[in-house]
Amino acid sequence: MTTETPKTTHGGTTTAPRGGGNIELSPLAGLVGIVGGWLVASIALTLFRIWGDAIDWNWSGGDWKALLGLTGGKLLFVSALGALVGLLGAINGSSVYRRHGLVRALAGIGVGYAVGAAITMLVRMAFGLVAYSEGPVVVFGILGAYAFYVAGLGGWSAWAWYARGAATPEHEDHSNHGARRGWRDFLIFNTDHKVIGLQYLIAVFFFMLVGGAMAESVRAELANPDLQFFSDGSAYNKAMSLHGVIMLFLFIIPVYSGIANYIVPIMLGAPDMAYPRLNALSFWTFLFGGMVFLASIPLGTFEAGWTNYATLSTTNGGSTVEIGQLMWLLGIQLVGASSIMTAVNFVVTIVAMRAPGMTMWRMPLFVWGNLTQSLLIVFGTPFVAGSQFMVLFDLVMGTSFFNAMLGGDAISYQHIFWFYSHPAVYIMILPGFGLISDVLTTHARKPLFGYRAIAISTLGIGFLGFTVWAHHMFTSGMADWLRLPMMILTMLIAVPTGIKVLGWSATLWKAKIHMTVPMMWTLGFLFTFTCGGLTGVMLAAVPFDIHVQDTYFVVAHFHYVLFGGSVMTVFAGIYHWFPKMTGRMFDATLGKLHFWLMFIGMNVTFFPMHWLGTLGMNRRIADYQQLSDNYPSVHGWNIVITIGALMQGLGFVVFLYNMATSWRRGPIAGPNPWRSHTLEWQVSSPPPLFNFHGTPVVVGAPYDYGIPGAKHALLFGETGHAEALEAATTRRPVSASEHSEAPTAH
Amino acid sequence: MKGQWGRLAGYFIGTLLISSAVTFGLPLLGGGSWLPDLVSSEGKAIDQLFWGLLILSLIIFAIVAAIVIYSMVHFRAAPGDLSDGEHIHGNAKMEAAWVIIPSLIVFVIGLLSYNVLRDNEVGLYDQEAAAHDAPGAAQMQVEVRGFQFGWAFRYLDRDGKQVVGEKGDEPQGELVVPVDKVIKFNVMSCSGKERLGRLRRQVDRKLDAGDEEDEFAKIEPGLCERKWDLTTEDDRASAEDDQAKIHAAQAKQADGKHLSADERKLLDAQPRFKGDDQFVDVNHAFWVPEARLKIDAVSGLRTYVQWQATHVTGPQDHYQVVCAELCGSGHNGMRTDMCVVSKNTWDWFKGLGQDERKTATCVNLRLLACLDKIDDRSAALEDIVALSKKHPNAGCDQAEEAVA
Repeated sequence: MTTETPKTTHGGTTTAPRGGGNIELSPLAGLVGIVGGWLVASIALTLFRIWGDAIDWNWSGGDWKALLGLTGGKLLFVSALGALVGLLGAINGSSVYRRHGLVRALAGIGVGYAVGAAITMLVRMAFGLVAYSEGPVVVFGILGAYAFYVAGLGGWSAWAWYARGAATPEHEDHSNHGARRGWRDFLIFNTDHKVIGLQYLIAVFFFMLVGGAMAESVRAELANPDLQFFSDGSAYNKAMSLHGVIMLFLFIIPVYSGIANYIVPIMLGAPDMAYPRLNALSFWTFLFGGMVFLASIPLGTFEAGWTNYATLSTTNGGSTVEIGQLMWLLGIQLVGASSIMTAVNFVVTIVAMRAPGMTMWRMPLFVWGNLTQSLLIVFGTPFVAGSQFMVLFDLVMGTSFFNAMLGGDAISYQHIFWFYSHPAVYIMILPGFGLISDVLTTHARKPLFGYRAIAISTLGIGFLGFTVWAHHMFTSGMADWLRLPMMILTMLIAVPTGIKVLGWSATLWKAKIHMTVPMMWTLGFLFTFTCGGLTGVMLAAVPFDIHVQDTYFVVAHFHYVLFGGSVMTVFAGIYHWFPKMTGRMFDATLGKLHFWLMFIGMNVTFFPMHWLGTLGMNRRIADYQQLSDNYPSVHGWNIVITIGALMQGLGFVVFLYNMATSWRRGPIAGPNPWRSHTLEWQVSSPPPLFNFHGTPVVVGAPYDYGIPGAKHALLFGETGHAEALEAATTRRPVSASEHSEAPTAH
Repeated sequence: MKGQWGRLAGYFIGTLLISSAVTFGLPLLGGGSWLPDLVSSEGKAIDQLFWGLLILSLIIFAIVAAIVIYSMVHFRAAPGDLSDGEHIHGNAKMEAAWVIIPSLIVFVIGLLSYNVLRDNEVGLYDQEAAAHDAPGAAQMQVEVRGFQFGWAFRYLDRDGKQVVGEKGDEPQGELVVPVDKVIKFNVMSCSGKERLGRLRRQVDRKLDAGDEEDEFAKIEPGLCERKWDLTTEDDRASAEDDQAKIHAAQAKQADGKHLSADERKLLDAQPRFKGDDQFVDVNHAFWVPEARLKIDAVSGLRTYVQWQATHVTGPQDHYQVVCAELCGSGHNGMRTDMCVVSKNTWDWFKGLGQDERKTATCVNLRLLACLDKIDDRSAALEDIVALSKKHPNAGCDQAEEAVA
């Protein structure tokens, strides 16, 4: 472990690369890497296939072809992976950064899988069983791959050194911290919350692209009755399941981790998250989980929907359970673990790392939303993990949690699953609610109407969220009396939600609205989310829900809350904080084009679905021929819906283009282009390595617009900072009444 | 100030009109209503609830939208205006109002929904015999079985005695119900396919050297009464014991004898017993959109729903039983026809033999509904079968012609 450990001061700006010379990546090396990797992977796969055919290896190649309509799709996939490895190898070979490499991580995946699989097979042989059994080998292979992948990244090393009592150079030199060396610092086990935030955002928008492609393929199939895009219902179910899983677990939940990672510590006046290394581990774990989901595509992916209901997931009605089903079960564990790690980190950061003077009632609402979301994740996610472990045990170990024939109970899956997955819908929207409050006040130049009511309503939604899970199960055959309390409690959630929506609307009253791109998303959100919230109340009414449960009415509802709600807030936040994160301004015209394409597109797509649902179009069907025979207009409206979906896809392409070009060439934005009061806007764009050059002190409410000279916080060195810090950190004098209650014994 | 509120009211009315026009115009463009035909008496209250909720939602949406649109128009910052809005940070009275009023509204909605639910489920979850005679309680039962990928139906009277066909007959693949009778549907998912998963695992572990191909071939989808297949002798013995008790209770029920509370419990919990002869399938959902009611078909659990058909289905009423719960690759095709027949037709239908019933499909029964006055339905059916083979979309005129 001989490394040059340059002397850098804490938070210093000197950049001294460690190990090797500063060799830049040559285009030739990159090209050689790509071509070489491609060739090696193609040849290896071809040989493997020949050998595989010879031993009648069970390749399920049809699915991949069906998904993308490609011949030899697997060849393409593996070749592309090889090319990627080659490219990364070329980068790594020329990189200044030698210790923690992506290549080592990718190699770790292969080695770890082999080790995990080998141990399992050896143990099986030792007990006289046939060595290869798909379930256990794949499970332990993937777990081994994960462990070695993190090891390859260097994710365990600091902890391992610390446990051994060895020196932990990273603690001192911050060589794993910050983006001082440009984009290469995004490819390492970086502990800077700003880097991790951007790593998350880049990864989740990539996943959204994949999930969106799945949605477009689903719409391509449904544009016309009968099957034309997919080869069979199974292929459709796979694309539909992937769309749901990717959008929920790889986009909406982690996208808030990304935004919050970047913004929340700065909003709090903290130099970083409470546990930076855990933060990095959570991102790389998430990425691995996401890769497990995506890698299931060429291997024959899962097809039980994102809800993965038993007994469809545990038996698939007796037909072969695909390896993809196992990959879903492990992917969800990894993504869930990552989610819990992030949430614990946020709770501790928000509770313990607020700047002096940042009382709970001075926290921006994005922080409130994030705190509540994190609590929901910490309490709720173990339940989804539990339910998926039970499915895994049923599948691999032959337990009978959900197999009625052996005394199991299929409905218990739904109870456990929804006990997480209903709070999960608030996990997917509460940070968005907070974010909207921040964006709205800034661009409307007005304090939030009823700040405390909105903050408390966030906690209220979080609490009520745990009491309503069974409203997803009104027709499941669960205990009939349970429907009534679930109905009333579900409807009650409309009250705290109404406090928010009306509070935001009232904030606009007598405001000075600047029609900026983030503000357009915010206003659009008010319309679409209100629509989704109201259909939510309709669905809570049990008799009506019984009719439309599992129909397109429900599909319309949750797309109005998840797309019209969450995704709109995400885009509002991305445009709002883009100048902060990149230091550059986006192209407003393209931003508006993106908004209009998405806003119109989403309404065209999802509004007619309400009607299709009440009319009798059930969800998750590859074909609606028999319905459109009875109601010919069903076909016409499905074409309209597909056109809407294409508009959204186009909007997303505009977004990606805008982000990519503006990040490179956009005009310099300056520290505070929106003239916002909250702390993240008081520092440079992007902020310095440890966010602040000294501890800031919070002196007022976050949204005091309309009071001339009102300040939320004072930075180190600003006039009055020292006095304010003194006032905030000195204990207030204890009053006489408190004296009398104080214990006198000591 | 006054003018401001007046203008806001104008915005509200405008928004309400536009959103209502979109909401109600959308299905009109498609040439229909928001809801399909209604065939159940229970559905009427459900539809009323839907319309009420829809109108309420439109009003609330219009309130929010009017405030937002008004603000967008009137509180826009002029270009270059860098001043702030008014420093209003809240209003306790308004905030209290929008806690209390929505709470009251949702309480009322909840109460109304509960009333609808209660009226639609008289006696449904009540196993007491006394509940049988309550007005609105079920007058007959249909055993519904969902399997990958289809439906099977058997018809029982109120006390569980089979009323259509002989014991051991194949179940119907389409749903035929008599008009004006409250029918309780006992729904379950089972097909015998569950054992394929078990077999696969057994083969995998080399615990059982059974011939996979043959076992697969033996399984007949849709038939739930099959012998169980268990691994150990202990399991088999306890299962046989349970099974014997259940069979005794079933025999008693079939003979119309009074069942003890224990026996009734046994029958209700029946599928939960280890080794019961009901095989496990994936979840499905039994839904007739025109009846507005739906319940999941769950492996190993009996679920219930009941409704009363209000009118006989004619040739134009292409109602179907739809599976609403994702159940695998054939989910989209898991639909079967349903039809409602008159009392006379039902009496005739009950007496048909197994082979005759196979020709009395819903397509033909709907045509037969055009000729409800005739006496010899069996003869008419032959003509109608010939007609519907030639013209699948034939109407009443052609049916009358064909039979005449």
